[in-house]
Amino acid sequence: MISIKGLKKSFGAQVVLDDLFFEIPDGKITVIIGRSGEGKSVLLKHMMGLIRPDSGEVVVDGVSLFTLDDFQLNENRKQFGMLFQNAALFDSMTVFENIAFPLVEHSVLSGNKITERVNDLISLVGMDEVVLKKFPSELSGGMRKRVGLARAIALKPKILLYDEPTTGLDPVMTDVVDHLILNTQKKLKVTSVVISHDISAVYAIADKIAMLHEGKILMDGTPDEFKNTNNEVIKNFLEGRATGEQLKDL
Amino acid sequence: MRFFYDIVNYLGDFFVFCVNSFLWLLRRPFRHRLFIDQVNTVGVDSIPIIVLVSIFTGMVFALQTTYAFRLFNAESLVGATVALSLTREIAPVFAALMITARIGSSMAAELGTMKVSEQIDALDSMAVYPHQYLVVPRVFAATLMVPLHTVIFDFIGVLGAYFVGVILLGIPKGYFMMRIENMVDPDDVFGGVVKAAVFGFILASISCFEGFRTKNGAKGVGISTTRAVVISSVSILIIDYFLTQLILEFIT
Repeated sequence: MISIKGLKKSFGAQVVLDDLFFEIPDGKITVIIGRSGEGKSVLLKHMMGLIRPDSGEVVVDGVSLFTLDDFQLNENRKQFGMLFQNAALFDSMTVFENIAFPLVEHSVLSGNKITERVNDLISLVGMDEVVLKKFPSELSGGMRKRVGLARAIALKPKILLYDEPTTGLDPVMTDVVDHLILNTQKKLKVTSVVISHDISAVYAIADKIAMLHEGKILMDGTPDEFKNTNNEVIKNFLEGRATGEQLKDL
Repeated sequence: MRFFYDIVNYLGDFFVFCVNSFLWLLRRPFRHRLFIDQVNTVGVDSIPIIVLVSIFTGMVFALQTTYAFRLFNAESLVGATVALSLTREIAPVFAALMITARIGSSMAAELGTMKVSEQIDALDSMAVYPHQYLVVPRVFAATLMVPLHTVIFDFIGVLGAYFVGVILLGIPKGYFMMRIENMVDPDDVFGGVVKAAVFGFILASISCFEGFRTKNGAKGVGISTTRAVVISSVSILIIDYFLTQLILEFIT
């Protein structure tokens, strides 16, 4: 379980996370929603220890991340896999080298075993081995996300973090990626945390939803609880309705 | 006041960045393959441009000094003058400036692009230290290879001077060579090589530092690249003065 306790983070005068409390259950898909610029990606990076908070703590399976020194934190990161917003593939490497990268860095597998594992991973994300020789610049957005996911799960992580995995994809590819998240969850039994703006996908994949608003979790609950909420801010967000305040500058 | 605060802040961050480069150099895993790749990129691939610049630098220097020294019937000093200037000053500074233009800019652009496209965060997320993986091989390849370029610059530059001075302008070959032998010491070459190593370290560190500080997308990458080249070039010229004083005092 990931427990976030009293997390505070500011960048200059801008308060991004403000005394945030939140729990993420094991083996489930938790989706964090919220308007752009609310600090969802910052929250995700705190969970992995990529950003240190101003105060508060993140406890992963009983270990308080920010009591660890940099080397312990780095070691702890091996239990995570992260799919970045634009996949963040290394553009100077082929698809094969990208997926093999964490295996080369951290596993004791031989060259042949790494090749086998990369082939397994590429088929797990529904792609053909032909793409292994290509460079990321030769792939479409959806293919890049799939390769990014293959790389993220290469070391068999316990926790998978997805930073807006469907942003910029067409509706069909969005559906493919949503199924990929569900399938990965089923096959690997991992804890998944997904940041998404795509409300239909949120309802389709989430076991638990949390809405981040003004640095705090405004509400967390099941998809049904979100569908039936009377909170105006949440209803407006889910229905994609701008308020008078947001429209007055137009 | 804000300006001075920013400068002190920048220098402080840069100092920590450089110290980290030394610390990461000593920590496992040692990344031999990446280091050799960078030696190839920074060193071997830059040799043609160093040869081209050095031969013309030696030639033009010989041309100017021959016409000037003729006024005093001192053409025999042309070889020694060119050789001394090259070994002590021109070769390390020009080689470093050429490597700044060719490699420093590409380091800043490459690392800057990796930064804005979250590739550096991806390294972090896969428990790989970006400083060790990206910076150390680049910085120490440049520290090793700019001295090599300087020695090549010395040799080819003197050949260029020989061609213009002896073959084109008729300075007696014996005088030309004898003066070089009498007046240029190994210490002069060594002093230039020491300078070049410092310049290599500085230019690669500044370029990587600027790359790592990149923000705001493609425009940010452009700004980082320009800053890397300008700050490296100016730093090389400023540090050159102080290094020259030290070298004149303690080596030559």
